[in-house]
Amino acid sequence: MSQIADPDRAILWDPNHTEHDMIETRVLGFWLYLLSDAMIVAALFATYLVLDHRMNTAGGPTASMIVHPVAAFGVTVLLFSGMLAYGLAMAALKAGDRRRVLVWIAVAFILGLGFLVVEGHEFADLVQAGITPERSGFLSAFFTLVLYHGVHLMFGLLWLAVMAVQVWRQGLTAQVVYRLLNLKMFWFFQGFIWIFVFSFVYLTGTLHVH
Amino acid sequence: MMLAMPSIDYTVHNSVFLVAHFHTMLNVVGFACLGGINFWFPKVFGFKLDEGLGKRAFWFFSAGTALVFGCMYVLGFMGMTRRLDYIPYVSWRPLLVGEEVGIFLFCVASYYLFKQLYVSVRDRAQNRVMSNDPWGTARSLEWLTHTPVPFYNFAVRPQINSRDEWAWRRQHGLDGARPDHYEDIHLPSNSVVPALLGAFAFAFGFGFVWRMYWLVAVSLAGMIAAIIAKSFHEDSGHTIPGAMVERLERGFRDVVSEVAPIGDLVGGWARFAGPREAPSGRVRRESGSGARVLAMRLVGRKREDTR
Amino acid sequence: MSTSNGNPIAHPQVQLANARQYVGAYVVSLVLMGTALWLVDRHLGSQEQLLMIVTACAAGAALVQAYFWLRLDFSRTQRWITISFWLFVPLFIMTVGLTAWMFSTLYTRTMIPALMHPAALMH
Repeated sequence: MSQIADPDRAILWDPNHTEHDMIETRVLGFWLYLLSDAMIVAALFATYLVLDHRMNTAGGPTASMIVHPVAAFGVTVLLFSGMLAYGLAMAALKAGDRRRVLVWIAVAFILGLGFLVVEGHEFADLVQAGITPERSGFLSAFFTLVLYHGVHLMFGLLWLAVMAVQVWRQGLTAQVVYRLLNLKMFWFFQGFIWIFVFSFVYLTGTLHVH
Repeated sequence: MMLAMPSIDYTVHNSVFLVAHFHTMLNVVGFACLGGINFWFPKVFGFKLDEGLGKRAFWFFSAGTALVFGCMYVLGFMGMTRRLDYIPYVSWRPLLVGEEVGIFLFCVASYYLFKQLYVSVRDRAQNRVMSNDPWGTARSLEWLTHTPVPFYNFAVRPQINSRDEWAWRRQHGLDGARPDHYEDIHLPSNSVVPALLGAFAFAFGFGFVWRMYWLVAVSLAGMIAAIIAKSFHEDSGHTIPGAMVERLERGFRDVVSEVAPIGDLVGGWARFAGPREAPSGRVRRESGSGARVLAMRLVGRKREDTR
Repeated sequence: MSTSNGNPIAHPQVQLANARQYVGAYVVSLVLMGTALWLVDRHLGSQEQLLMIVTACAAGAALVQAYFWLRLDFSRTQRWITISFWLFVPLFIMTVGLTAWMFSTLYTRTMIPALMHPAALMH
């Protein structure tokens, strides 16, 4: 690649370079992080599908014995409602309505918390029945996959709480707005991942495919 | 690549050929590291590493590589497996002795590397770099700014006219070109949070390895708290006014031409580490004063002129 | 660290929000998940058919959420986000799909003797 630049007339300095759009670069950067995070989920799904096999239960329960699709649909409704609530917070942000942003963040927080409480109860029941991650390879994969999603939601709740405080104290500044946008992607992405967890762990788990 | 071919891989499996192969690959990385250190050392510290000792280290290192791994490849073909605690065939003996001699040459090379560093730091006054480009043949963009690099990297962003911009400018006699005016430079403030996160992450991993779960909990809480605290710290960085940049740049050039910019290694670092983070809330009002302090430090005895 | 973006609310990223589309995507994805649940719960179909239906519903819900919630379109604002997503999708499918396929063939090729063992078949 040869460049033809006239050294006599070439511009050597670029003092008035335009600033990057802070919100846009940070949103894209966080999105790329989310995709890399999703590759971990891909690895966990691959592990789960490999270990969801009679050979890997070590005499312990199979998927069809521990998943309850109807109950899982209940928490799906809770989770998606939490996503929708945050979406409505974004709509309020578009209108610049700070109070409505706070209200919808609170609703999203409560719905997300509800999801975690129900899921926590489900896991507590399993553990009480002696169904723990160390029981078999299959159960290790099951708990890791579902809990990985759960831990993400936990951090999402923490983030929601922090953002509520920042919206309340600092208002809708550029700093707060880009964080709200990043949280939007993070929060929606957990719903996106849950579609696959619900479908390929809770629904097909009852099918005795293997 | 070679061992990715199954037929070769099966044949040399567990032999010292394989050991020689992957260590030679690491050795190539080692050569590249040594080259990089010698090349960029002046860019970072402002003085060159001793060339004669560097060459000596290179030749001993190369000879050691040839002797150790040449012998090891052949031994692999002779059927020697790795991790032996005895030598079953007398015929391996000469080549093993050859490897030992090679190891000795590596030791000599290491001695010269350490000596090179010691001598270069000791005689840094003679090895001092007086221009952007101590090599006179460098091509890439990093040599376009000062050596060592000031905390703002480039006073004015260079416009790129060629792939090897610095070589192009030198070729056309533009290497002395300076911008005719300076804009404000906006810099992010220094922060302790990343270092803190690193420390907590280390404790987190350590706690998990040794099953000290209280440590895991404490360091995790610490990480989260540090990130949240940082997000509440509204710090939009600081601005160095264009006039200050100009004074810094002019001072820089005067200093370079009259006395060397680097008094000593540590002083050199402190000089270019940039201003400390201003206390929160006062950043905007104090902008420039950090740079003023820096300008004083940088220009040193020329204080009267820059004021 | 630039704060010279003017009014952050006017940023195109913020202006992407659309309450009606959010509600629509919510309803559609729940209906799809509910349909899959109903068919599986009632065992309406063979295992292979149900697996196909569940996969189709999941893909549909994922697409709806990606388009209407995450707003992955080719507008100027979202272009690179969408492109990186569509570069990511084949990686995801290959990671999961190839691993699962590889091991399922591995099981059939190497674990048949073990499967023949009565203890392994009891569960």
